[in-house]
Amino acid sequence: MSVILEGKGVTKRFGGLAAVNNVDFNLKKGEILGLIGPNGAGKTTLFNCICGIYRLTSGKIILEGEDITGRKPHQICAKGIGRTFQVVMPFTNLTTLENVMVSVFSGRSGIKKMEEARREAEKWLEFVGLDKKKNLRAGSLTLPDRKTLEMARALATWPKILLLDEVVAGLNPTETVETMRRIKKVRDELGITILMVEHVMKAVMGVSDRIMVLHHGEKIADGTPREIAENEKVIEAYLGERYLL
Amino acid sequence: MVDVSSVAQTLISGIMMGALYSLMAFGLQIVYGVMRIINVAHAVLMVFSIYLTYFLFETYSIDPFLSIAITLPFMFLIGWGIQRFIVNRVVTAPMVTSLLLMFGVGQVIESLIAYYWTSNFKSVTPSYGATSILLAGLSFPIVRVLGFVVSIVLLILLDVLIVKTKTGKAIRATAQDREAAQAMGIDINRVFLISFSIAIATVAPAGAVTAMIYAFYPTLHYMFTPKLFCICVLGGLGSIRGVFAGAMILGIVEAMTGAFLTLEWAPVVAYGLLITILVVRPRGLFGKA
Amino acid sequence: MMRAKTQLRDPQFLSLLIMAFILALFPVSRPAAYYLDLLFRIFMFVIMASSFNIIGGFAGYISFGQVAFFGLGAYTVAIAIRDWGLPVFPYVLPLAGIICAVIAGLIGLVVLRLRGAYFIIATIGLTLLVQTLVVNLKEITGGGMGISLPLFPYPMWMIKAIFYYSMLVTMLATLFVSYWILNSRFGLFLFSIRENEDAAEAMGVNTTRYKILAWAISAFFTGMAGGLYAPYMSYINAETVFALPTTIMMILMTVFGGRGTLWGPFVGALFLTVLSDYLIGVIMSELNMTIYGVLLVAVILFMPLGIVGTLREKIPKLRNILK
Repeated sequence: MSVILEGKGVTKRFGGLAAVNNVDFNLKKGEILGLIGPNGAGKTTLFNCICGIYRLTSGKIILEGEDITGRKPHQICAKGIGRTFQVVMPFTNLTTLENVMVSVFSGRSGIKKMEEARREAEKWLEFVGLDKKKNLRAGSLTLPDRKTLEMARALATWPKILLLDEVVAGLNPTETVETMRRIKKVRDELGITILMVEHVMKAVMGVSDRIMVLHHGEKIADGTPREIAENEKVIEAYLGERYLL
Repeated sequence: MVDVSSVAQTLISGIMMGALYSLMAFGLQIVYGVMRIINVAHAVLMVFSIYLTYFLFETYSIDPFLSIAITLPFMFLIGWGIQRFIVNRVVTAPMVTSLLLMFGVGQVIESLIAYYWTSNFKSVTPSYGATSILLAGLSFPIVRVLGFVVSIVLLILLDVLIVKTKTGKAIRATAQDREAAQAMGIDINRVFLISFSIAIATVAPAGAVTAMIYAFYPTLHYMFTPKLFCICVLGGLGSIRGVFAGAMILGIVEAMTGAFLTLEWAPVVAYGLLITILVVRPRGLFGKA
Repeated sequence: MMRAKTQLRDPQFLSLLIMAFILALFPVSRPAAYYLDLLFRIFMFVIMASSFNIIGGFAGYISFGQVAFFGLGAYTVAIAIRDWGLPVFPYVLPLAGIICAVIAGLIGLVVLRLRGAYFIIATIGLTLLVQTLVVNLKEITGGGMGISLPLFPYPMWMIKAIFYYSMLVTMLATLFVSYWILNSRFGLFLFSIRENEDAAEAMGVNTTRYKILAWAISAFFTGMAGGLYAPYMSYINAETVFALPTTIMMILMTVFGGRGTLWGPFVGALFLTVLSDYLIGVIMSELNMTIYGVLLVAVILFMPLGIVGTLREKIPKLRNILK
């Protein structure tokens, strides 16, 4: 599998504190890479660096061989990176359908007409199972539905890479399983590469091809779920005891 | 003519003007720091206290500086009322809502002032109003010197209040993290009430001094609002000491521009400074993110 | 874009057309000059409220400095007429609008980078700044003395009718553009910026470009309103055209009628202009602004969506008509 996204020496400082410190990573095309680590490890910061919301203090982000460091968020989206947010950020007063329509227009679909965008948005809502709620005000959706909407919205930009930030936080076990299934579906049916931050071990271990572990802003391990579960450093920092797969 | 004494004189003017500005701006900063509300009616309330000072001076011949003893508690109560019945409803609303709301409140107060006192220019002229102390060839108008003293006193009082007292600690905690403060058992509604009331009370000394320096009219606040915002942003939104620093900077820059460039462009200075800061370093000098 | 056929079936578009039709025919019935006057002023405020709505309602960037563009438009036209005579008026009017749009675009490059509250603060001083600039450039603008303009060489009633139609056309243009934005991709982007600018950016919306565009469009129509005001009054000075109560009125009308809707600014402008006339004519006018202030406070506290907005909430059936 070829490498689709690379990070070299990615560092982000806030004042004197390095939230992300000299992290190297690569994401292979078509894989699901899990990103785990204790709170404050720098996972969301790394996401924000990749998407252009934060300017890197130093280091490079390379997408399909092209250096995208320093580009603005909407440009990076145009290059093919879509994302969801840890704290959901729906367009509250717009309907579910309109939420996705924004992405259809602003993403890589190339669609310019309202009717076409509407149909495309409806297809995405069907894909994630929200089509019955398409005319509801986004602000009135339940949390699980909002998280689903986040994903639909990100998908509608036709991303090559999807960054998922703690998509199952706050969901019950059934909803979590449902979400994981959907993530696999996105990779298997649409060929989208996935980089996901997660805290719920069962979820991320079960669905990821590889796992990367951050601690205090640095990468401390990188490997298959099994390797990670048995890694001493990871256990000490994060897992607590040997995680049984 | 640019020579040492005129530069020194301008500097003195700027510093004293800065002190006055800081008096005006403290309250604005407190409200933003604690409640995250931008009180666009702050300057209007200051103008109101100007007129109160005027009223006490004209009707009862009370010296403006002494009248602070009356106007301060009065403005505290006004602030209490406004917070309790109006502002309280929008502490959790988006900033836009509270902004428009305070805009409306300010409008009501301004037009009531105009209705009751007319739009004619007025001033407060105590017997010492035009007296200056001459020191080393430089002129120090008494009113402004006393105003400077008042602003230092207020700065110290506020500092002590916020740093040393229990109430102050509660206020700081709420300003830093509302939810955490609540979790610790602090009654944030009371904190909001007290902070807002204190903030409005601070306009009393500001108004008293301003009344003696400026000819005033109901819409005077429009002249000060951009400057006050400039000061708060410059000093760092949420920082009381920053207000003093920011006010000094603005006062001096304005005085220099007025003396050595041209007087007419002076209002532009504050605005230019504001935009520059907002774009270059929105945190200001002492502000937190 | 929408095809013509669907447009005609859209109740909103139809209602705009009907209103345009009625208002266009109104002068034919030879009403009293007062009504032409009143409607002229209503149209002017509708333009200003609707323009404000584009940046403040659709995009959520509440500009407290819109009246600066009104004044700029007024001065542009006044200077042109003073220096080159009355005949230039029809050409200078759209030019005034364009100049305002360009200036808004340039200022916007700096000021629109600021978010929410910071943006609002920045615009609060804008009017004062522009006013100071205009007054200080005495040679061009006549300073505090203002500019006097010649009257058009037609009978009074005809002059009023001409201005009526000019303002009507400009108002219709503003409303139709608002309508178009509301139903377009551009409008959807503006709404996304209003609802959550960071999310919009992450989804690929070039927020800077669209914000600037919205402000420029807003300034364009506001500037034209000012440009019509100048020759109508035959005299302008900095105090009247940069008057701060005008900003308050624009915001109040929009919020009262319903921010972010099509008809909101129209309803707000209509209601408040008539109210203002009533207050001045019948009751003492000194408490005018007090009442407006109280209205603004009341609307924010009790009816934040405005008249049209609240109606849309309560009566879902009206949703499509009243967007």
